[in-house]
This record gives sequence, C-alpha cells and structure tokens, in this order.
Amino acid sequence: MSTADTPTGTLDELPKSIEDTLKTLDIEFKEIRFAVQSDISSTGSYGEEWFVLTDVAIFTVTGAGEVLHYIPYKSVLGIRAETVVDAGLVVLETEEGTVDLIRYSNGCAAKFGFVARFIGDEIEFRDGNRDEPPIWDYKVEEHSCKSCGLPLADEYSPCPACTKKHRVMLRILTYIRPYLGRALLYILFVIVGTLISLITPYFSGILIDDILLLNDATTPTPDDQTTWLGNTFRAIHPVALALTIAVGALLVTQIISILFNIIQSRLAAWLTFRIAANIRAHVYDHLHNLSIRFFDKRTTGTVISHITEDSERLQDFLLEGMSFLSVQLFMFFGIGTVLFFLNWQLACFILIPIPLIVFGAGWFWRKVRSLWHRAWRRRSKLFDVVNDSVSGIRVVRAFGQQRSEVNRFGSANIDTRDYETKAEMVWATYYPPLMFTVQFGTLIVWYVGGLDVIGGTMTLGTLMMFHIYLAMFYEPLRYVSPLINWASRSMTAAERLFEVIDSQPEQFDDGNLKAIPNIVGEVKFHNMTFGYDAHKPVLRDINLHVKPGEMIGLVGHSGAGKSTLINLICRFYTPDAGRLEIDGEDIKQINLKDLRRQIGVVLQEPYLFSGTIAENISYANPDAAMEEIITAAKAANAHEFIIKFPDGYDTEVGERGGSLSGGERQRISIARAILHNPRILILDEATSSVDVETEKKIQQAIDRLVQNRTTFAIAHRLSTLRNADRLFVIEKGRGVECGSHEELMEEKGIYYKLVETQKEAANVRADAQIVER
Amino acid sequence: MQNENTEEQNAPENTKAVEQDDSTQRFLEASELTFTRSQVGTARLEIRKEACHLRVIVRRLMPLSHPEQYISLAADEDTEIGILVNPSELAPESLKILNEELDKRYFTPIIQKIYRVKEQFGIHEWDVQTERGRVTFLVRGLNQNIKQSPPARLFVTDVRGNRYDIPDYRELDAKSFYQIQRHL
Repeated sequence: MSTADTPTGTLDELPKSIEDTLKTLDIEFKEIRFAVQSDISSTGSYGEEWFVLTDVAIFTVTGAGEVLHYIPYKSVLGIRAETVVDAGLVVLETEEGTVDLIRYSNGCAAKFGFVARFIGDEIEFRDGNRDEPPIWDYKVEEHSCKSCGLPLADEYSPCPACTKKHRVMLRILTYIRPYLGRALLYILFVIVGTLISLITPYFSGILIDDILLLNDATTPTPDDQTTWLGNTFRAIHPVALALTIAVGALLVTQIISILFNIIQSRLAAWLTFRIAANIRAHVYDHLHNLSIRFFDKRTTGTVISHITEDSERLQDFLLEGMSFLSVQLFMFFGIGTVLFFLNWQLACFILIPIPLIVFGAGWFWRKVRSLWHRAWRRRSKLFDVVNDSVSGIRVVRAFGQQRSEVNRFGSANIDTRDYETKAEMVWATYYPPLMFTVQFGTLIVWYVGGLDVIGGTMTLGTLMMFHIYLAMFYEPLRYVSPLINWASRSMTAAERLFEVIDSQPEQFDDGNLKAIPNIVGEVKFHNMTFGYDAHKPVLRDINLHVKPGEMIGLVGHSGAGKSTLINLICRFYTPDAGRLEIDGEDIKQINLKDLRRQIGVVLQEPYLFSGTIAENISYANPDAAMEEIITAAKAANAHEFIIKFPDGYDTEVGERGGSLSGGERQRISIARAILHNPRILILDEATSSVDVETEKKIQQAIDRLVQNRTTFAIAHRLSTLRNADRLFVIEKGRGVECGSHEELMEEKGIYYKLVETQKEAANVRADAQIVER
Repeated sequence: MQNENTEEQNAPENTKAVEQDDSTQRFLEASELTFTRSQVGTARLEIRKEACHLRVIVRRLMPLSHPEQYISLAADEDTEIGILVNPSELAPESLKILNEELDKRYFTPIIQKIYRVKEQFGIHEWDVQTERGRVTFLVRGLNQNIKQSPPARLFVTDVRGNRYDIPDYRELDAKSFYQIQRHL
C-alpha cells in the first residue's frame, strides 16, 4: 500500500504512555502516522479516547491505554465520518462488516471529518479508484483572535477583547479629523462660554456683600419709607447706582453667554451630523464589500437595524450628548477650581458624596447597560417577526392565519415591553437615591457654611456664591446617570456599527491578485471539495472541465449541491480542498472585481430594484445607451410587453418588482444579463416559476443569451436543458455522471431515472387534465 | 459472519412487499422486533418471519416532545424500515440495545447543575454538570447561542458547535438558576 506524505504535528500529540502500550502489543508496526483525540468515550460520557493510525493498522485506545479496536489497515474497505445529533461517529467498512469505531463531540468534528476524508481518499487511491494520493491539507477551523487567542464567531468577526469600550469613543473621535478646524473652534467656544457663565455667580456674591449688605449702614430708617416716590428717589442713591451697574453687568454677561451658547450649539449640529453621516456611509460601504458568509449568519432585520437605528442612536448622542458632556465636563473642573479658591475647607466637604456618586453610578452603569442590551435584542426580534409576516402576507391570508400572526407579534411585543419596562423601572428605582447622594452635598454646605457665617469667618455673599457655584458643580453629576444611560446605549450602538466595519471584507484586490480583464470562459474543477461547515462537505471531489462557450446543465435532486457549485463559481465562497480554475487561474488568485464583472446571473426569483425598467436593465452598466437597453430588451423578449405600459421603459417598478408578473420580471432580468454581456453565465432555475407559454418566450431569450458564453444552468424541468452541450449529474455532493443527454440516457444511470420520473409525472399531469375536462 | 450478509435475502418475498408499500407509512409492532449485537458491535434488527438488518439506524421522530416514543428504524441512511411507536413494549434486552443506539445518535448533554457562568469580553465560560459528566465550555454572546423554546427549555451552543440542553430552567436548583437568570 502506498502511503501519502505523513503529516507532522498538525493533529493531536499522542501521549507517550499510550504509544508505549501500543508497542507492547503483539502487532508489529514501524511508525505512528497520526493520532486524533476524541472527547467522548465509547460509553457516551466525557472522556479521552484516541484514534491512532499506524502504517499497518487503525487502533482506538482509551485514555488509560486500553485498546478498544484493532483493525488492519488493509482490511478497511471504506471509512466515513457520520454526523449524528450534536456529535459524530467514525464508521469503518471492513471485510468483517460495519464497525462503529469512535465517537466524538461536535468540537472534534472538523479533525475527524478531515481524517476520514483523508483515509477514504487514500483507500480509493490504494484500490485504484483515484489518480493521485490525497494531500494533507488540514487546517484548523476554529477562528481565534491573533493577538489574544479569544475564540471568534468566524474569520470576519473582530475580537471583542481587543476592541475595548473606551476605544469606541476614541474611534468616533477619529471621524472628527476632517473637520478639525471647526472642532477646535467648538472647543474654544465651550471654554469661553464656560468662563463667562462662571462670572455670573461672582457678580452675585459681590452684589450681596459689597452692595446689599454694605448698604445696611446707610439705609434710611423705616420711618422715611413713606412714599413710593421717596423710594424711587433713593434709587439714585450712590449704592443704588452701584446696584444698577452690577445688575446691568449681569445682564450683559448673560446675553453674551446666550450668544456663545447659540454659536456653540450650531457648531455642534454642523459637526455631529457630518460625523454620523460619515460613519453611516462607511458602514454601508463596508457592508457591500463583506463576504456572503457575514450575511449567512445574520438576519436581514439585524443588518437593517445596524444601518438605521444604530446610526440614528449614535447621531442623537453625538449631537446632544457630546456637546452637553463637553460643556458640563469643563464646567465641573472649572467650578471645582473656583470653589477651592473661594474656601478650600468647605470645598473639601462637598467632595464627600463624590466617591459614593461615582461608585453608585458605576454599578448603575453596568446594570442599566446590560438591561438595555437585552431590550434591544427583543426589539430586533420583534422587527424580525414583522418582517417575516409582512413578507409572507399572502401565505398568511391564504391560510387564514392572521390571528396567529397577530398573536405571534403580540407575544414578541409583550416580551419587548417587559424588558423595556424592566430596564426603565430599574432606572426609575435607582436614579432618585443616586440623586439624593448628589443633593447631600448642598445640605453639608448649608450647615458648615452657615456655621462659618455665624462665626464670622465667611461672608453671607461668599456662602451664597458658593451655593450658586455648587448647583452648577453638581449639575453634571445630576445628569450623570441619564447621560451614562444614554451614552452606554449609544456606545453599544457604536460598537455594533464598528463590528460591521471591523469585519474582514472580501479580498477584492490586494495587488497580488491576478487581473483578468477578458475572461475566455474555461472553467475547471479539480478534486474540489467544499462545505459551508468545512467538516460537513456539501461537494466532494468534483472534477469537471468546461470548455469556453460550453453550456453545462447541472442535474440532481434538490440538496445535491447544484446551487453550492454555482456559489463557488461566483466566488461567494472558496473551495476547502482542491482547485477551481477559471482560464487556468486559481479562482482565489483572481481579481474579484474582474471576475464578478464578467459573471452574469439569472435567478429563479429575479430581484428588481425600485426604479424604472430602463434603470433595472442597465443596473450593471449604468452608462449604457438607450439603444443598447432597447436592443437587450428586444433580445430578451421583454420589449413586446414593455411598450404596452403607458410609461414604457420609464415605468416605475415597485419594491421587488411587485407590479410586474413573474415572467415579465424574469425577462427584464434576462435583458439585464444580456446587456451585462458576461463571459460566464449562470441560470439558476430561470424558468421554473412561469407558465408554459411564457416559458417558451423566456427559453427563446435564454437561447439567445447563452450564445458564445460559458453557461451553467440549473433546472428541475430537464426539458429546459435540452440545449446543454453536456449534463453534469450531482448526487449527494459528488459528480456521478457527465455527458450529453443521449449518452446519459444510454448509460441508464441516475439521469435516466430522473428523466423517466419526470416523464411519468408529466403523464400524470396530462391524465389529470383530461379528467378535469 | 459472512452468513449474516445473506440473511437479508432469506425472505425475498417479504422484502419486496415492504418496498411496494412505499407510500403508506409502516408502523412496527414491538412484539415482532428483536435487537441483538453483532460481533463487530453494531445493532442488528430482526423482524420476525421477515428480515434481518445488520446495522439498523435509529432516529427519534420527535426528539424534543416525545424522546422515548416514535422511533424510526432504518436499514441505511435512506431506507426506512418502519416506525416503532412504543419501544417500552420491547423485550428488556432489545430495549437496552435500542437505547444504547439512541444514546449513540443523540448526544445532547443535559445540564443538571450550573456551577458558574463567567463573562469576559462577550465570551461566557460555563462550568456545568451534565448526565455525561462535568464539562466546561465557552459560549459567545447570548442572543444567538441560547435558544429558548417555550415554555422554559434552553439550548446552549458553545463556540465549538456543541449543543447543551436545559429541559426546564425553572426546575434548576436556585444556585444554578442564579447563574443564568440574567441571561434569560
């Protein structure tokens, strides 16, 4: 038996004790080729068990060294990794019968799947059913962060540990860079505005001490206060004049303060909408570069709410929260300094409640944040429910299930309500006590400051000044919890936005990829294997060589892997093993832009965007001349119905092309493909959802479309593939037959059976029609 | 051993009858069935006076709502022999083998006790006791990987794709419940 290259160190390391045990057995072997550890014992409980392949035999050994199975390699006829519910099983076909060899949990599925595939291929090679020995190309499936080793959802996800919370804020700030000038101006206004507002209480202090209280000595006795006129007269008393000036000064500072406030808020608005719009644009732009795998793992509702709700939430916060925060923060430190300057002993007292506030707010922060996170998830789920039932509204009506849909919404709605209520109630419960701790400082000042005034160490004016400053000082703290609440919600929104931005995009062109401006259209699969989960291959060892301009019909039961093959040609996914070549170039090495530009797709459910018919036809070539659009529509047999619309080519197509029939939409999508002029064309069930008459028209259009293009067509109705040069039959992920219709009918294999079945079905339909008449 | 391979052909007429009866579902009588272990350890099913299947594949039709009933028996991945509604009526030895096979095919550990759930950067480390032993595993996030099915059943999926079952979280002991309550 020929052994392929023996792998080194890529799988599990067999403990020395077990190796020694194996060596004491009667069975002679030269080397241990590899060993794989399972995490389940043969009895089904957690435990260590080993699968060992030596040059002559397969062993399974318990962690304690007890040999469970010994099977000579040459007696092995076949091997497979069978997937059971939440676990797996390696099954051997031997000369003795079928053996359930070793069990493993899903966590080990990737390595056992690989090992089974490798040994299976080696056996096929040994028995002469395969041209070349398999290649040891085991790669670790688990994705983990490169810098900290944390496991990640997929290769496209950012590491949650390495994108720390405080960095989110900093990242938002990086979006300010283009507007640095205005941002600096804004900060200047914040500083000056704060300084101005600090003046007001100072004037108030002077007003009390130097004007109102000093005046005591010169105030006329109550007897003199006989007439209102007398009072007015006294108003021009020198002290009263000073009062007028002081109040006037107060008025002026307040007007200036308001002016600064206006300018500063206008600047904030100017800045934040730009920042938010830029983040939104960045996210959306990035979304379109992400791999299809990103979308496989998320619902449409989640992705949409990323773009709309999250960015809105972030924007609101940036607009109001940020400017509020920056002003208050500056105030806090500005006033703090002034307070210490005025009376440092008293200022020390007002610091007493601060640790309590900070500690309380921190606790509050965590609690409220997780609650809002949960409420948000419920809301997203609610959105999914709406999306689901509105999309399927016809089915709902047809089965009369409005009531149950309403109930489904109702329970999701109540769920959302409960979680939002809970979050809000926690807020309502803990906010007032937090507020009390904030207010507590004022009481201290009244008491301690009051004693000072009585003792004569402090003037009443200073105490009053202190109080006004204190109110301003505690102001930011008063809003600290709603702000934190708000900030945390916005930061989670920002995190989710950055999660999209941080997800690895598809490699469009990193400079090393080969540009193919003109694809000839030769497609070659070479021992290609692929699975959406790498350990569960959907396609196995596909070999197919398609000549330029050839039309290949893909045939097979549903779930056989036809659509997967097409997804690979579009390079939505890349092969796990083997190669897929276009014009002799590995598809992984081809510039994606070049590739996609030259691939055209006509799907079963054509997707039309809102816009006019002409816009939809020229979707891939927006610069196309009107003549070209009309020519394409004509070739697609679409022209004939388009001219009947009152608005002709300018007819607005609603969401998903709702105003057109299925056949009409299909013909528009064919026109789109014709105009796109791809080198490789993919027809995925293009004619399955239309009536016979329309099908003829579409078939005609397709016949024109496939001229001189390499075409892959999937069709359940085999008659629609009659123009295919060759048919490629896929059965359970393997290419089993390939040849022309005649050749395959001759072969009497799977294709023959499928054709016969369809003939029978057609006869049944015909009979049914006769009966109906 | 080789003899066993031919056993299936011992009753050709009956096998044919089964094939023809393809459109109607066959329900098997427990009294007709005997499970035994073959020499290589696979489960062999004998249907009295009819056929013998060397490696029978067992599947639960309603693994969540009726795990102990409605067992589908198949000769291979695609060929169902029939459905056994009430395995409890089998002879004890047969029932034991059937249960062993079911256990082999359904590996969803049931979480009986939760010692600790610790979160770090959105990854939750669970330390639990299952009927298959104590185990520690990592769960990413909460929303996607804890699926709740009414009224109170939870399925937890870890980062390696293993799934764990909590049939009714209300029945967990207080300490265990405390560990997960904030994730519900």
